[in-house]
Amino acid sequence: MFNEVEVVTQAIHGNIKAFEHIVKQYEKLVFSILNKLLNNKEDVEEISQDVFMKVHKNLKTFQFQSKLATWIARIAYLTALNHIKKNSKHNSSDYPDDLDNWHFTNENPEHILETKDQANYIAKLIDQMPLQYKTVLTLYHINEFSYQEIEQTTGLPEGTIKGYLFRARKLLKEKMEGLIKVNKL
Amino acid sequence: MKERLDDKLQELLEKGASKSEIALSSEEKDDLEMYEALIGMIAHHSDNHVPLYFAANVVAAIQKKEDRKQAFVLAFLFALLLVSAIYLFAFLINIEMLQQIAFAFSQYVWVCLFAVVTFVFVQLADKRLVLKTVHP
Repeated sequence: MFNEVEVVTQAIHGNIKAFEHIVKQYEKLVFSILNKLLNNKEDVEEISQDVFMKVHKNLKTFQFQSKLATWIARIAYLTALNHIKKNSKHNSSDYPDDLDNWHFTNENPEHILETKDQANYIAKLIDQMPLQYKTVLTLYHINEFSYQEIEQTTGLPEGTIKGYLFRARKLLKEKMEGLIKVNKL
Repeated sequence: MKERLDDKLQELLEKGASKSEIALSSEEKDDLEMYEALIGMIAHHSDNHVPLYFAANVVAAIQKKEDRKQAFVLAFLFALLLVSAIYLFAFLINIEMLQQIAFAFSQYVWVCLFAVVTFVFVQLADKRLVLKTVHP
């Protein structure tokens, strides 16, 4: 059983085994966020390590006002954003100018071939989405965060999070409808 | 119209309603099923494979960083102690010699300062180069 208060207190007092326990508890959370947000998958392990170094450095500032998972997810989210801003100066796909009118680009024959494995196809579609949509889909559906926890993680208002989530799911559903039509042909 | 229907269906799903519990047209039921399938696929496709020794590697990196910090503090204290010892030794052994050193320093104060600044600059540039090589 993972007792958050006890483990964090021990880690703050320099118990490195307690900190290792924290890493083991939340490594999947951090990897899942970074895997979805970063386009370059080779960077994920190195940046995950960077995230936990920051967690270790700032653990004494953790006030137990939110869950430790939310606090760590926020560090992972902000670290990923910094990395994207630093490395994708010429790539605007993560931050489209008009997010409300953003749509997937048209299919090419290679994409249609990929549609045989629907789950993989959906994952690839999510990878193509703007950062805001990827973030809310990942935190809500993969990490099972509530709207309030996503708000604490990203700093976005609850209404905006809901708007992004609904639009992202609608766009994916439209692609699925198209996929079913293609498969019926 | 279609937009509003999508929002309504997503609201229903978030409340955990199932299609058997609510009155829906066949088109709405199809859409609801599609949303359910989609959410299932998103949730089950989490690529969160973690390398086996990740936690151990993080702990090793933290310990290495702390060891380096400790070594730096020790080296600084040692240098301080050495300078104090030399100063004390010179003061106790020969006050004239100390005066000569102070005089020499006052004559070449800019040269001495330049040497110190150059040394610090070279150290910082070296550290930057090392960081660039390790994390290009």
